[in-house]
Amino acid sequence: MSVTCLITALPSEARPLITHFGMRSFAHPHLKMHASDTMVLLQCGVGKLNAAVATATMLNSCPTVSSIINVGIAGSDQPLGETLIAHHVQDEASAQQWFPHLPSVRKLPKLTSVRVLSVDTPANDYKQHTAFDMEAAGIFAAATKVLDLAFIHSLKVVSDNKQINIEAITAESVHASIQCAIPAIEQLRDALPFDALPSTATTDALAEAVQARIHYTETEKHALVQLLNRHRALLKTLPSETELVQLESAKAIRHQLTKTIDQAHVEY
Amino acid sequence: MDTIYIENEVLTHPRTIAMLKRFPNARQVPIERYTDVFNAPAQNFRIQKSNPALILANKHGNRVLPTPADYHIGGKNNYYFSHMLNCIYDCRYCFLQGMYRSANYVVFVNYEDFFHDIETTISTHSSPSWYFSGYDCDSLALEPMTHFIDECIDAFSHMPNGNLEIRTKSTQIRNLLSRPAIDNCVIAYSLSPEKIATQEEHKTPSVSKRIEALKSLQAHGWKIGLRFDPILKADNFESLYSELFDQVFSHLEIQSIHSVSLGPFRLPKPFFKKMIRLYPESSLLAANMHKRGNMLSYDEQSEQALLSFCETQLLKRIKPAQYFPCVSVS
Ligand code: SF4
Repeated sequence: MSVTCLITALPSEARPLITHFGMRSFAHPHLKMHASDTMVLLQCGVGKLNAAVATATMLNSCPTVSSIINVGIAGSDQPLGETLIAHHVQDEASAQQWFPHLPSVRKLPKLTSVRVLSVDTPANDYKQHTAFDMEAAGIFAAATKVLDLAFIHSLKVVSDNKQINIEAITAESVHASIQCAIPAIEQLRDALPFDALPSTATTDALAEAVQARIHYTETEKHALVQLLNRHRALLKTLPSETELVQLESAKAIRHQLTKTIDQAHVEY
Repeated sequence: MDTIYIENEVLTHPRTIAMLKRFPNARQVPIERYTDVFNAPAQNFRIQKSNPALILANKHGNRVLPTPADYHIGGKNNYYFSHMLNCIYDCRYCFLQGMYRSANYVVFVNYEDFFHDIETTISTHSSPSWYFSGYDCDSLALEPMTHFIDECIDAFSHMPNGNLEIRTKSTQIRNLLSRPAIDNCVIAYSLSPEKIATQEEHKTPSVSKRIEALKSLQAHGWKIGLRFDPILKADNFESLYSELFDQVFSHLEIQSIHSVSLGPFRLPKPFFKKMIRLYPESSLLAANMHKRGNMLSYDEQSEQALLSFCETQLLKRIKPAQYFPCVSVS
């Protein structure tokens, strides 16, 4: 099952999401997390270092997380309360940058895309097509070690701009801003390109079942998955688990699968 | 096109402006260098292929490169150039899937620099040299947007010592039919048996449409080439390829076909490994492959059987002078 992780910095950003998505507190020794069946929420704290460490720890302890949406407030030249999506995330200090692969405009019709510049201290020199935050770069730095750029995104709601300055931000205004972003979060989650990924669930399940009954080294495990995929591709079916475990050893299974694959008929 | 990355250097280039006009609703993202996006880690070619972005860039250097040794149609000095990286089609055997991290399309807008480098390369040879377009992309598929080939033909019309091959599967030939053919240009179509094309060459025009295009180009006076490449293995390959050759040669003026070439299915090992990871369900990529040097291919016996059969069939229909195998067929 694919689970989306929402990452916010502040409790006031997390609260409306926890309520809306019906999440419950999730016990983790080091992280502040909430979860429902299909979503988790990580409250990473302020700043890119906190964000990077918390994201990496979360990905390590939640292997079912297959997409990340960073949600938070940001300063920008755009109108107050507007939800923006990052087409470019950059760490101001190191100039390190990422370009999330965005879903089609048709699937996110009302979202303006901007560069999100992660700064170390709050900034107010609002630039065109840019939003300031303090976490996105940390999240991207950690998440791109595990996930693809099509599944890591950053949504920012404009909390301050040239008209309303940063001092005017309150817990209530943050809560209201994040509520405005909920439709965009839902649209973005629905638009993530999971359907473009190969479906390997049945092959993986069979490999796991066989490995639970027969000893496999790491290299053999990898080879088994490859052989099962080739079997499925060429014969349009997988061998039965019973048939495989009856062979009693990884080597015998490999020989049998190789033989079957070698004899496969390929016709166009 | 939903997202267009534009190098700052080409933001105001007239071709950039013209291409952006075609996609008024696309997100425009300014970038420093195309490689910042194109070569970034954590990208998935397969996912991007379902919604590729466009990158408009300037190509600095290495615009004209020598072809691999087997890539020629009889010329001694052979070069390739790519005004574009990646392709709108999605052939399961395509090496681009293994070579690039990204499936986004890169279009280099500094066409004049390509033509200048080609002219310079031509001048280094005393005899005519060859220039192959369509190595890292399909030459014609995005022609309505880029107009590159149109301008390239203009350039070659002033470079008689250079020969141009435009390799394609596209039927975007309106511009070619609206201008006189030039003598130093061959329009070469990649062709596979229709059943293979349907299953493995996703989003491409059907083989019969490609043959129709070849017929129109030939009638208009263009030199045409046929590229049976890659030849794919199947239990019924003899009937598949015999039917294809019958289909192709029954529609064309055989004597005036410029060149026919044959190519085996071979891929560098790292490309192949990446392609299997991207498409574990592909029967084409699940076939038994054998290592030869750094390349993976069908076992030698099967490959020879495929190529010999096709060669025999072709030489029944064309003259040896028209035939160029990509590798030696014994
Ligand atoms: S047409 Fe050529 S470049 Fe395009 S996907 Fe097919 S093989 Fe690759």
